[in-house]
Amino acid sequence: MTFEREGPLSPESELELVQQLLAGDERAIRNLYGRFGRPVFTLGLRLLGSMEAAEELTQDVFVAAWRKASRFDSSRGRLSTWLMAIAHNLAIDRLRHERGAGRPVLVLVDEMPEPAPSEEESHLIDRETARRALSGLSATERQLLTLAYFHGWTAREIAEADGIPLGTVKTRLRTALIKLRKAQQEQALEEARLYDGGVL
Amino acid sequence: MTCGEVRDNLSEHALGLLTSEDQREVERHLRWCAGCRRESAELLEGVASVALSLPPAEPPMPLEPQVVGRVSAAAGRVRTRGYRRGIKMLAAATLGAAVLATSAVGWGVRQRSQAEQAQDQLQTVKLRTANFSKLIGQFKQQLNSAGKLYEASLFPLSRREEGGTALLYGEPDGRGWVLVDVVASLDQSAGPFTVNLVSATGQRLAAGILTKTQNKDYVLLRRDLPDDFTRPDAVELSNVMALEVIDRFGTRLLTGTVHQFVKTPPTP
Repeated sequence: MTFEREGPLSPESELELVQQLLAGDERAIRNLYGRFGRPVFTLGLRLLGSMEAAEELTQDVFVAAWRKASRFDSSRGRLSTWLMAIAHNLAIDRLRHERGAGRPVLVLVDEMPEPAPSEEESHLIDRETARRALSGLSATERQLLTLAYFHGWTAREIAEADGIPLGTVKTRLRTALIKLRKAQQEQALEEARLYDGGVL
Repeated sequence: MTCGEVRDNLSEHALGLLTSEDQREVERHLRWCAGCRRESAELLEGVASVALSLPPAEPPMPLEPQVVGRVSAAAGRVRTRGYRRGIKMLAAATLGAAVLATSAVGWGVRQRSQAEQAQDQLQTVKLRTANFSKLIGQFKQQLNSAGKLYEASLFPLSRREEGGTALLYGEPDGRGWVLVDVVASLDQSAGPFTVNLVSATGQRLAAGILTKTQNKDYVLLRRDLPDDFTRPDAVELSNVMALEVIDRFGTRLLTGTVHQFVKTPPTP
């Protein structure tokens, strides 16, 4: 099977791509990198604060993806979700390990520059979807998510720092993530409609 | 953990903020709880959307070949280390027989002449090999060609001339099989002898008890692993890193590392 780097993958194609990755197929590795290398690198840069750390993280993420490929379950979510979870977890592990030593400058989720004009449309749509989803969160929810996602603070740490009950923090985090997911799901349906209609 | 406790932790699980122990507990629960698994999937999608919202930074050009090189090297190292692709059941049986035969040739000196003893032992090994080959044949007939095959050579912690072979087979629908054959002089008073599957995290699942055959080897053939693997503390076949044989005191007698074969066996 030949995988195109652009355009959404069906669950079957995602599974096959992961199986090819597991087998060490170089084309599959390149395909996966082509689709997700940039967001993984971006996340690394934002969380870890340096090009070098982001490059190391990106390599580690794809090796980890190969190592865990036999456990990818398409019924539990998309390939992008799985891979970005690996990326975020590895970055947070590194961040928490280095906690207290030269913390990087963080970009808050609502401080984002305008996209470059040469950007591929599929990436634009993904990001625009996510931006709109984030704008649907309350200021408190955005702040909590920033502390958890970008700082790696646990719910307990956030609760202690802000002086709010632990249960409240957990509930708000959950609500924020569910809102994000719902907004993305609605946009994904719209995107699929546009893709099938030949607009994309 | 109960469903309530797991759901209380699912947001932090999705954000990668749990301790290793809590992470393992949650993952273990998610293997068998569809409701919590559904919620976990939703929260993970929410988390992924945060990453996607970031303005993209362009990775340097050399990063792609570096990534490809590292993953290819890792995959290649595993193949070199013995995780061979395309090894068929027959080859695995041959390997098992070869292990037994090699062990037999190296067995030690007794009261009778060395030549007589070697001849006796070789005969015994031939019988044992034939027995194991027959077991392999029976095992093979019942396998689904779409499953995953694993193999381990078992080595004793004391007497070097003894040992065993294990084969594990995981079917696509989650059913699992294990076949173990051990050639060893086990102290019967220390029995029963249990075969444990050991995960990468040190988790142990008792696969069964070895039965002594007329040929004086010990065999375990288990076809119903999933009944145990559905327990929250069960071990996933794909996560099994090693096998061990222990006596009733918990003393480890034999141990071996599990290797996964990527290619599935041919349809019988």
